[in-house]
Amino acid sequence: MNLSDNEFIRYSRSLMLGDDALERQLRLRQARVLVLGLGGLGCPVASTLVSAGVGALTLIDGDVVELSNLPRQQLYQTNDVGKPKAEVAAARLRQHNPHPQLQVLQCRLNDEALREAAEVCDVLVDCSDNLPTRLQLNRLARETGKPLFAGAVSGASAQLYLLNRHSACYQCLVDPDWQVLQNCRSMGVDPALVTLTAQQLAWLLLQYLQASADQIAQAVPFGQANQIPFGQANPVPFGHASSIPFGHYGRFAASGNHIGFHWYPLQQDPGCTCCGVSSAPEGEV
Amino acid sequence: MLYINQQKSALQASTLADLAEQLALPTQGVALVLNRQLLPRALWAQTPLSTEQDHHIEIFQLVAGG
Repeated sequence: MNLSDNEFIRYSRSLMLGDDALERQLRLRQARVLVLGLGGLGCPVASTLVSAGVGALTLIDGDVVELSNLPRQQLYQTNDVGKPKAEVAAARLRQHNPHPQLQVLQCRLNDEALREAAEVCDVLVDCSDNLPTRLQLNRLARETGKPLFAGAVSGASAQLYLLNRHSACYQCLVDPDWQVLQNCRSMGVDPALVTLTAQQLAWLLLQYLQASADQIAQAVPFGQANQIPFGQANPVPFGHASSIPFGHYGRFAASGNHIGFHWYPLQQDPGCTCCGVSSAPEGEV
Repeated sequence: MLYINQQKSALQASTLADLAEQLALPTQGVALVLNRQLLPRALWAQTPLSTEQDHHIEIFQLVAGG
């Protein structure tokens, strides 16, 4: 397995990033990612993954393009208003990079259909805009054992959560009956902040998808990596200064001398009906 | 001493649930971080706030849009 000449030229700048850059690019080409939601978060996430050379994407969205989407959803153009998002997005992404395989699901999926789509993917990415969908994908991530990378934005707030089968789940944190009043329709949304959040998510996805199993297993646990003094060489391979922050919830903050995401480990609720002790089948506690 | 979102607080609470009640936090959609740990609401009642040490608490609104 190797890159074609065309791929070598296309990805040449990425291939300069460290001794294992070719292996990392090849791992990315082997990866299949499910992106649920092609709005303000999903457009930049899908664009970056496709540009960078992901092998395959499953794109899911049941909505059509609206005029008010355009300030932040850059895969769509003015004359796309009224057209199905997933189909338009896939067409734009194919124009940009014809190599990745794109599967388009222009609908809201029931559990069975979403599980079928999730099972063949390496990673699930939640870029959706509503709580029932977030809870559905969280539950399916837990059932299928797939890692879940998620972003959430509204108004001037931006949050991320990265969960896997060893961590707490989203339902530990939120009440399934939560009546979400804080959505983009009611609160508005900062276009640059939603793009920044999506690109933080995309960067984490690329770190994860390009790492070898050994690199992931041997990475210093998130939050425990020593800071590398400015000017000194990174003592570990490019991109692996610490592990992916699974089990953490990130919150964007701009205060003092810090602009970026603060990450907090999310504690598990032992009584969670999705991932807690009470959800385990009898005999498996 | 209790710090809430980086501000000193004079409140005295025995548990996180007690604190949430004193602050009249909404019953849904709020995240509460105690000493850099994000704690599900189900754990608030059983999480004591001892007076022997400082506690740094961050409270923020969860969002779910995209």
